[in-house]
Amino acid sequence: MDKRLLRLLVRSLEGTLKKRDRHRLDRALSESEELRRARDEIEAMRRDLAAGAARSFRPGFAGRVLAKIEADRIEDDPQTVHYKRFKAVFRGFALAAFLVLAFLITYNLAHSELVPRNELLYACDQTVGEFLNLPIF
Amino acid sequence: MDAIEQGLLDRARQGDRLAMEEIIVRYERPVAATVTGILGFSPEVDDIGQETFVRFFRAMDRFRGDSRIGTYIIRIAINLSRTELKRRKRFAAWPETDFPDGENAVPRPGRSPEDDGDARSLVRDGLQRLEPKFRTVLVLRLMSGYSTQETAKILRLPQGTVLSRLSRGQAKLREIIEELSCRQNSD
Repeated sequence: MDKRLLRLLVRSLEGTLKKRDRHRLDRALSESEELRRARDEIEAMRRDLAAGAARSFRPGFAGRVLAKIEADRIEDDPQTVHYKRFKAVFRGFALAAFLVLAFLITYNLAHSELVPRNELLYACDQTVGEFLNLPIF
Repeated sequence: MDAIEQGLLDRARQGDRLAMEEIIVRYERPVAATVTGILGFSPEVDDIGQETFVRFFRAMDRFRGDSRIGTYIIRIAINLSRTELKRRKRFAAWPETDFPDGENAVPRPGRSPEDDGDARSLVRDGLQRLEPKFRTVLVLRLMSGYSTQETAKILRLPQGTVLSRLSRGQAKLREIIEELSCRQNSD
């Protein structure tokens, strides 16, 4: 089928054809069953598109939008922003303090005479042979 | 913008919840038609619909009133829908066209045996397979109910371009539907 005629057909449905094109299309429609079928199909397709359009979102849509706006407003509130910043900074300090403390404890325990390092780490100086010669075997 | 819209906007800017709700109710239908037309009846459309209005209300102080509120809101809806289409492209080979109706489902019009036949389902599937630039024009003109002139304003395109895309889009859609129909009949 002549693509130009098909385009004229589609434009005719928008009511934007010039007189000369309108006459040309009308003549072609009267002569071609294929073009008439195409016209019917396109008209049906346009009706199906219009009928298939969603008319709303889920029930309560407006309420959800307003709730979201309210939640964003609280999120953007200066007090909330400051609190979140404080939390983030505090978390950083807390982690650093924990690491320093863990290091100090480990260091002190390792250098302490009360608890030898080997005992702390369960290190054993015995060989496998000596271990197997123990009375329990 | 007419006096009623201007009044609603002024009140919404002052935080009047009723005015904001009125704006949402006024434009819910064209936004729903636009977003579901571009993306299909997928679970994300409700979130995208919500985000459309949220962004509008965030930006309304900067809105100069050189277009109608509806035009501005629909532009936001189209941009968000296009972003979602790009996101889907990155993660899937082909967008799903028919989603099961769950608790997030947007109500589909005409869901009865008499109304919703294979034809409408084919048209819906075919639309999702159409290139976004044609799909957007068809959705605005034929689903959301905007005139060619309004569609051109929303998309910031010359009217001639809109008409050209409408005509090429419908022709392509018809080919896609024929192909889908043949596949369906051969199955």
